Amino acid sequence: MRRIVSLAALGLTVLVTRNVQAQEFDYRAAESLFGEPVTMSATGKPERVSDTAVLMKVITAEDIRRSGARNIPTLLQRLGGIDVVHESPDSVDVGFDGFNQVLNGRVMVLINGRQVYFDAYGAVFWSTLPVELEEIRQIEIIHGAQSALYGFNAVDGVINIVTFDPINDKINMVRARVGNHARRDIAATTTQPLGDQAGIRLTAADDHAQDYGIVWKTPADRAFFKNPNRRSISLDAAASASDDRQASLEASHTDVSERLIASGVLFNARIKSDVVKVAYAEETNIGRLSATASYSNIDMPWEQNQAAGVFHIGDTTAVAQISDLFKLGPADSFRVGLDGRHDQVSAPGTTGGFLTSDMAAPSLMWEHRFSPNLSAVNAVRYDYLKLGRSGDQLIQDIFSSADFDRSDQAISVNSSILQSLTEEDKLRLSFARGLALPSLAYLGKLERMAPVYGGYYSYGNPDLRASPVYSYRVGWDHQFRSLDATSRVVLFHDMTMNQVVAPFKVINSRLVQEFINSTGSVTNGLELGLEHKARQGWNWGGNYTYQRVHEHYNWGLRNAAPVNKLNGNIGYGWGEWEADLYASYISATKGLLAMPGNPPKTVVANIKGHTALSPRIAWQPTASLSVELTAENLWSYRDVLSQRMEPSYFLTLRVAY
Amino acid sequence: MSRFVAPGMLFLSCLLLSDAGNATTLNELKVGVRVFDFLKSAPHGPTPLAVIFDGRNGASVDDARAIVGWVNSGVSSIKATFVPSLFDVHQLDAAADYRIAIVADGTDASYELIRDYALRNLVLTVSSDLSCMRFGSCTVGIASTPRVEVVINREVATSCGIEFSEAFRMMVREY
Repeated sequence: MRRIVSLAALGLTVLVTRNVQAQEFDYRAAESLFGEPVTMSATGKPERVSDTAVLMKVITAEDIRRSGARNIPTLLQRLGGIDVVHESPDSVDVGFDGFNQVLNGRVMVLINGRQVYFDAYGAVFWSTLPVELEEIRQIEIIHGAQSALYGFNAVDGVINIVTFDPINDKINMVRARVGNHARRDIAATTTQPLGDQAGIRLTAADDHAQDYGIVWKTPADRAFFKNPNRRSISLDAAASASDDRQASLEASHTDVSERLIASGVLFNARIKSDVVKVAYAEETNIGRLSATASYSNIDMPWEQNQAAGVFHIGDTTAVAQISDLFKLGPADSFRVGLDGRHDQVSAPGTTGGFLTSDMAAPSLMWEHRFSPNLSAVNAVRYDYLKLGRSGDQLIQDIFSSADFDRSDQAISVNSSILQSLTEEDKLRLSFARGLALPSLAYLGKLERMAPVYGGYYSYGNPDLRASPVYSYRVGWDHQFRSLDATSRVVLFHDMTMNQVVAPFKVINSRLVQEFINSTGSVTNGLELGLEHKARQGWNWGGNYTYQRVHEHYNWGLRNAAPVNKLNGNIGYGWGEWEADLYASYISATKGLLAMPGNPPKTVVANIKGHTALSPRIAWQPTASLSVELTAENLWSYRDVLSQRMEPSYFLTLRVAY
Repeated sequence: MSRFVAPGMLFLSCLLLSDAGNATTLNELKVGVRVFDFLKSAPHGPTPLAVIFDGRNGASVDDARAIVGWVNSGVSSIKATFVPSLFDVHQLDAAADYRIAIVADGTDASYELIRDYALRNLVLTVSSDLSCMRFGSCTVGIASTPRVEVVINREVATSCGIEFSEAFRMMVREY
């Protein structure tokens, strides 16, 4: 790790001394020109958000500042079509359009284009993301399958977190926060120029609070109380000289302890994450060439699970990407890409050695403008995945390492059309075929449950295949110029085929749980939204989501997604003051809890619908000082059976310099 | 398909013709100078800027003076600040050393002169008068209402040896 960081730093130094340029894409210049956010997430090419053919939402830095939120999932929860469930006070899972289960592996999360997905579990540990809200330029959210651009697991949507550029955006701030539940967070960011056209941003954060909210407080449950602690340090550097070459380096370390939930049982873990990424882009005669390489190591030195005991798991990922963006004629833009990814999971006693996956994926995106009012984007990607396992075989294992010597391959596609009907109306149609890859745990773990949970074995299955996901969407945006407001209506229909499930069966007179590809699921829904944003005066918005999930396999939580979700916000800014109120309603759903027993008992129970209110008031007496008082969840609620979210109050002092 | 293309072409025609005969607005000027940031060899620091007008048209003279006033009061791109100078379209030989120019409104009687000047001296010409771009005299046409639009005349750009970044070309319309 240290060697890789050194090499990356050396590489950046060489680039700087060669008088090369920074940042992969100049968001600031483009946003300043067009007066609206620009994005590269939607199609892989730069474009104005209003011009993109895919259905996208953007949370801007100003939205974040007005939100009072402490973390990214709180911001996401306020959007239509997004489900957030809390595993513990600071641990959450984010799903799109009905898939709100814990350890959700269907949403691709990226920081500046780098996947932060934990392949071993097929999940995102949000608290390990090495980014503070003040560093974020915008969060881009795309609904629907996007595998043709991002590969496996971008099946329900993509969230790309774009941070500020360390050369041009000088983010210098210190933030302290105190609140109930013994909350004490502190963070600092400094941006330092390195010559005229290079810069480096360093950020450090230390967050602490007390655990709360376990609903069933048996002695066994109470043992799993874990105060959420998070320490993070990150570096973001870039260099710039000429206008046609850019280089950047990102490196980070986070160390988090927290309580989580898996399959209805509690566990807690320490999660350490180390990441380094280098990127280079150059304007050439054959287009804009970009190359990115990243290495991440997510290590869970101890993980304590109610059902499976204590174990250690580590996951290292190396990614290399190269792409070329070019335009042929006035109407056709292309992106040609090649991605490679190597992943290795080691969990002594659980995986029987090293589980590896190697992926190679060429891809092509083509955008064609038929007229100023009509454009279409088509993308296709071929993924080849090679699975492997090496090391000692566990004696209880029913699979040999040779069983893991197999491959999977599949094609994903995206197709979208944007039609401007009038100056105020835009219609978007999209179809996609995405691919949900089973996590490496589903493919190759071997766990023996504790005797009180029946002592059964849970086997991964190396023969699992990627699950195709078909996504159909229609969206209509209308601008109300007299209100300075925008509305959106979206209809969606998603189908997942061959979903992975884990039924019990008897092998050699022994009860075992084995992961298999089974039947699929269908989601139908409607999303309505209306919003008006203003820095001074009234600020308001709201969205409503109706969604129905039909799961063919009944694993207990069948069709459990909340059907109705409503979010609203109203705020007012006057002089140095701002006041905002965020409200949400989520209808009833169901939750699952695994209880000790032989075989273990599974409790499925209703979770009541709930309303949450989160007000904030902020005072900014000078350009550099702000004081903010925020409340979250004024009424307690549950979104899973085993965790109750309680009201939180906190005071935030922020000094920018 | 033709039923989609026809309204589109109508919209483009409206866009291209809509601002002809209107003075340059401050917002259009801000958009115009920010376009310079996306050149492959973008100007940095203090940069000479020609402001071209038709001395025989009072409205054009007034527009050019307003442009110079705004630039002198701080309208700039991210990478460069501009030092503006006024040039009558009938005396453009004096502006031979300039690489970038803003064309004021009301020069439609002299589009040929502007085209000759731009091609001879390889000058990037930007104007809120979209018909100047459509005629093939200006390289870039801009509009700021109801939304910002940037339209590049590819033929003029190629003839003048003007290269924009690939990323920028993907965000604007090319004519």
